[in-house]
Amino acid sequence: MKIIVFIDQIVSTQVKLQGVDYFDPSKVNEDDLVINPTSKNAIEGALKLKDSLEATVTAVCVRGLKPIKALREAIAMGCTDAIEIADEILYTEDPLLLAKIYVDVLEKFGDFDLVFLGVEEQSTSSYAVGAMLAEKLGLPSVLYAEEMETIDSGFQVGHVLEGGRNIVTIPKKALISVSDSQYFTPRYTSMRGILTAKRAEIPSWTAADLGLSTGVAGKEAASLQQVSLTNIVIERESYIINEGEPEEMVDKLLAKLKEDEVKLGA
Amino acid sequence: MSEEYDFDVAIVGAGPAGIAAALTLARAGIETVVLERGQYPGSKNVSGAALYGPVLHELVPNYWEDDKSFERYLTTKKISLLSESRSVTIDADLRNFSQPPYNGVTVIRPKFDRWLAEKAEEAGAMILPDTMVEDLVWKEKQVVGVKSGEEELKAKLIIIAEGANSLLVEKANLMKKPKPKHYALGMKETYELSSKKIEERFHLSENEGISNEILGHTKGIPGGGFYYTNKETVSFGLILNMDVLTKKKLEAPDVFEEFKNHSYISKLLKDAKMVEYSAHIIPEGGFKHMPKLYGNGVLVAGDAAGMVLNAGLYIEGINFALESGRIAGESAIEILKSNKFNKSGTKLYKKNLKKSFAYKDLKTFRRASHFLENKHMFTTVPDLLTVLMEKLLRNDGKPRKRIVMTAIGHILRKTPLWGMFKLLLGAVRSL
Amino acid sequence: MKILVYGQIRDNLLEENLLGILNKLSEVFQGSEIYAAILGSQINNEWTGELGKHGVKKVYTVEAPELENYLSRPYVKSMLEIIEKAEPTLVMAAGTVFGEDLIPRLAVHHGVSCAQRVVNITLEGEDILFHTPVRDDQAMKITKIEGVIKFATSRTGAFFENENPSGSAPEIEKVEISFDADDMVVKHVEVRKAERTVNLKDAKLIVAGGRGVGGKDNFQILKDLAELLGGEIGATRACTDVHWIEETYEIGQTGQSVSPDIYIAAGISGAPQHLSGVKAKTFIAINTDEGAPILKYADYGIIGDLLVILPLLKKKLE
Ligand SMILES: Cc1cc2nc3c(=O)[nH]c(=O)nc-3n(C[C@H](O)[C@H](O)[C@H](O)COP(=O)(O)OP(=O)(O)OC[C@H]3O[C@@H](n4cnc5c(N)ncnc54)[C@H](O)[C@@H]3O)c2cc1C
Ligand SMILES: Cc1cc2nc3c(=O)[nH]c(=O)nc-3n(C[C@H](O)[C@H](O)[C@H](O)COP(=O)(O)OP(=O)(O)OC[C@H]3O[C@@H](n4cnc5c(N)ncnc54)[C@H](O)[C@@H]3O)c2cc1C
Ligand SMILES: Nc1ncnc2c1ncn2[C@@H]1O[C@H](COP(=O)(O)O)[C@@H](O)[C@H]1O
Repeated sequence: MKIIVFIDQIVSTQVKLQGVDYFDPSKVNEDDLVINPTSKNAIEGALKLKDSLEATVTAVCVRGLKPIKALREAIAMGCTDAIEIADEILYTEDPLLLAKIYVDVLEKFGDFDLVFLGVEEQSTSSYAVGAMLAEKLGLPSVLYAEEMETIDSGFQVGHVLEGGRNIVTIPKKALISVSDSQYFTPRYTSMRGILTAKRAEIPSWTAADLGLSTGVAGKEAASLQQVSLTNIVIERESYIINEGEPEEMVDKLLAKLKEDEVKLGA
Repeated sequence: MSEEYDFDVAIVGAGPAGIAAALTLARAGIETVVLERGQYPGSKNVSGAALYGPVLHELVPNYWEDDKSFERYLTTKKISLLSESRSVTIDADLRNFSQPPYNGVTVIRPKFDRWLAEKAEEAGAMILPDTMVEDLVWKEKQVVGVKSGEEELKAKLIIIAEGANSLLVEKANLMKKPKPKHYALGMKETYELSSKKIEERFHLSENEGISNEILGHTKGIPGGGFYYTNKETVSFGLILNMDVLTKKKLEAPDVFEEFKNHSYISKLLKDAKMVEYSAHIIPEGGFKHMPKLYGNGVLVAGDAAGMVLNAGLYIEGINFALESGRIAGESAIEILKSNKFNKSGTKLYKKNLKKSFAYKDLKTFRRASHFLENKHMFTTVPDLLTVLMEKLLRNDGKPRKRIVMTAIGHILRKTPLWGMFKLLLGAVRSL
Repeated sequence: MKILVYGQIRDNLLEENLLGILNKLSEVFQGSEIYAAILGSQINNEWTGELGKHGVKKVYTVEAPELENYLSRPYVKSMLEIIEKAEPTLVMAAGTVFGEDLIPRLAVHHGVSCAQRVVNITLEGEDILFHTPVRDDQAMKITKIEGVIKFATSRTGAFFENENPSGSAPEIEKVEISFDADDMVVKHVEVRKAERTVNLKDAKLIVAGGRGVGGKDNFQILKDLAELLGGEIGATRACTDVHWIEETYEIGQTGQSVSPDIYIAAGISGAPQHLSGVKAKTFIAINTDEGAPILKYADYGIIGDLLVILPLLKKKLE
């Protein structure tokens, strides 16, 4: 069984950025580049199958300033191999364009069974790539998966639902988008894994390798056009206590609540 | 390499000691791995840091040609004594130190360690970040690998370079559990200041740097403060003896705060924004408390080997780490050739180390920590010297000579004469 | 201009976020015609009536056993057919799990992108601008979609319904669709409904816990504090997922919506999906991580271990 995981690399949301130009390589520190959280959940999903079935897991990274770093980490977690797709013209925030690029990647890759990806890429939060890719490929799919199990006909998957969890079955060849849940809690990298990752040869594909040109994949080709991007400034004044012994902190909080005439209690 | 082993040499810790060893080994074409618990080499490391240029030059010839390697070269050295409201400073302007390989340079550890690690990687060493070594792998009485979680990695020789408070040294049966008395606590803050401001404030030309060691005003706790100038930051810190700290029931951050409030310090750091704080322990047991440096299948280098000189007002460890790491690497090459990995083979490392300045200096300064345990050095001496200076300089119409005599009388009353004498003798002998 | 909304039915009722969207749409696009589509195995007159009241002129309905539960293929197929009939400029759905599944798929078939989770819609000349928060709500991105037809979902809780709707009964058009085996590859098994035994809607004070609570037993600390203060407890999906606490206590997009006077969030990072269910007068956060997004929303915060802070808080209040 051949599994592909599409992962994204983002600037950690722990990093509070001045301005919002977090796709500008000159403004981004390499150490702040991390695998998008739900992409890690997706890797975990694929690796669980690698452990239980005879599967190979290939990590692919199109979105990221330094995809190699993310891919080595994916291998260190346990992925079999990885492909870097690095080309400036491929950097897009348009989910439809990205889905198109993914289709081309899969075409060049050849035979595959399962496609995994995370539910959300935090820098663009488009929440649409998984659905669009499935639709373009005509692949049966489940989004927002929280748990899965292998059954004869394929997989039984539970996904997030308002007021509970929805359970469906999908065939063996399918697409799954994965959310942050206990079942998909990402594993840590292992010593052997890091060793393998260090030694791994990661092929790099460019837009030309995928038969894509600026007009087809560049900014102009996007149907979702960004008009503006601004930092959200929340007006409310926060009173944050970040120093002192726990007891002092609690006293400080209670004193401040009293001063502000906030009564703790229903 | 035989199939049984993953690497010839496995090094634990990508600090100066570990990387120096790796660099040396990799250059000789030996399969070397460095295991580092941090996200990258240097990510968790704290120090001043000033180090000696010649030692670095020995390891990375013409290091100064790479501007990623260091921040500023040191041309000014100050030693200051503080008391409540006074300070006295000795200021040495040492222009002779402005030529490569430079006598002293300042570095920022996360940057420096990483730079050095890249050199080792270029030479062919493998550095595994995010890997915490928790134990050793034994084959009978021989260490044959390291353990991280459930995983094992086998190597013919292990170099322990995990820094102060090394657990593996204990696990390798090379040392008993150390006492708090043998440790100091180092706290360090980094302040942002433009290079223009740094140069104005400290009277430096471009790329020149200053180091200042500061004694006194630490609530009587043996220790001292320091600052160094980097390109666009100032590293400022305080080192305190842990034993006295605990005995006096004082909190290190409180002592640090008060120290910073001294007008001598607050002036230095005026308008500078603190961007980082960190703390780390430092072995200070000195020569006497060094662990065994070699065992069956293991060598120990750097802080893990207790190779730090804590002279109270400054610490010197990077030099020793680089040097002992390099010698560990060189010795490992010979040991691999001899194929003798038990104690009788690894003993070679100590023999080689004994010839180096690192070992000799530690021996020479072995009394330093003793001398520094004398509390007068941190309380009475700064007090008296500053009072004396003030009395000497103050002109209020009275004949001077008499005032000097009063001051000396003051000194003698405060410190028993014999104690003072011993103190001075100690100072001369140890430094 | 014609607008089509997907009339999602949840628990036998119209999805409440849909009414908010209708209100917003009639505000922004005055004079436009709003249509709706309802799909299901049995369609209830009350739903179409309610849509009419909230300004919908015409409701397309598809009734088929295959539509008993939401499944992408049959739903996409039906919606595409309705879009063809209605010829809308804008298609919208509530940003529920199913809404977010449906909209991008429909967009793909029209060769355009979509905007998910919009919190505002504005007009600029000819352009419709979609406002979406990105990067854990750190930045607001405004986008427009090129093309003759645009697709979007709203973020749950973003828009408010009109309290005094005055619309009349809509026109109903039944649409027949036939499905084949290919449409039904993904099979519905069951909905594991979270039991709602405790209603948190009216709680005046809530002590809510997240993954930082660290385990089942630790929830007792939250319970003790809540009891002392006469409030309720709440939790994030991360906690109900691992069964540290009953599912009924889940708060957020997929849990309950709450609006207490005081909300104490302990060990919660502040994911938009969680926060979209919380409207509190006073927000207090306890978190070990100074960088946690939740602190931006907090009126008061303590950077510390909730396992230490909460018991201390309780002790001091006793
Ligand atoms: C505040 C302060 C100021 C100082 N200033 C100076 C100065 O100005 N000049 C100077 O020469 N010296 C200074 N020193 C001393 C100097 O920092 C040390 O002597 C030097 O860092 C020792 O190098 P090392 O390689 O032995 O250990 P370290 O630099 O401590 O490196 C050890 C490495 O091992 C890693 N590690 C530890 N355990 C494990 C494990 N189990 N598995 C994997 N990895 C592990 C650590 O993450 C670290 O990267 C200062 C120290 C302090 C605390
Ligand atoms: C479609 C969809 C719908 C969803 N709906 C919901 C929903 O309705 N409600 C919901 O809650 N989630 C929902 N989620 C999940 C949501 O995205 C987040 O994954 C979830 O809210 C995270 O929960 P958390 O804050 O408890 O965990 P985490 O994000 O893991 O945060 C834990 C926090 O605890 C802090 N912490 C750790 N230890 C301590 C300690 N000892 N003391 C103090 N602080 C500590 C950490 O610093 C961290 O900030 C949904 C997801 C999807 C995809
Ligand atoms: N100006 C200088 N020139 C040469 N070496 C220096 C200078 N300043 C500090 N050092 C040395 O750098 C090492 C680091 O000490 P530190 O000062 O506190 O930790 C010590 O050996 C210092 O003596």
